[in-house]
Amino acid sequence: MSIMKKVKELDLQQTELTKQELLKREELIRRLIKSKNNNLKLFNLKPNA
Amino acid sequence: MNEQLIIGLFALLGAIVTGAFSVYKVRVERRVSQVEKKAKANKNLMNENQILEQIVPALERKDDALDKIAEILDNILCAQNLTSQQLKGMNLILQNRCQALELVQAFQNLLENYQRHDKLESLSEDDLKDISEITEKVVKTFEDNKPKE
Repeated sequence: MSIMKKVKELDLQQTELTKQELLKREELIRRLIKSKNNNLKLFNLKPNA
Repeated sequence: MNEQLIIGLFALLGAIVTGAFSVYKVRVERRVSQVEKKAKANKNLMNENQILEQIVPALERKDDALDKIAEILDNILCAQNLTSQQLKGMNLILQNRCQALELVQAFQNLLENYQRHDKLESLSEDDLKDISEITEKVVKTFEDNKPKE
């Protein structure tokens, strides 16, 4: 396998990893906002958009 | 003459090969640099996600605790069977409401005490007046804590 091919393969792996981590981050942030809005709702405060 | 031509051709060929390899090397290095940047960014992303993975479930557990508190508080307020001392305690605890677990514990204690206390009818007029005043203070505390729009 040529060096360039190996580097391209590594690049693809990292890109895939970035996608997975960003999806994970999105899910965590969604849960964080839900938690915050629940608390605000519980104390009769206006939830964030 | 022929020898010089052959030497010249070999030199040209050598220069072409060297040039081509140099271009290839630069391209590979550039690509490797990009991959390194991506790997570094991914590492940061993963570390941050790991921190969030610890924080978010803790906050969700706190949410559950707060829901439980709200339910207990509802039951207590529906029963309207509080002493002024209990309301003072609640007010103090609500001021430190971030400490959700302590709140749950405090309200559970409050509920246990509640079962041992006399009914509302047994309270004097002064006690009822105290309760009314402290309830107003609790409501005012919440209103003061509302964020500005």
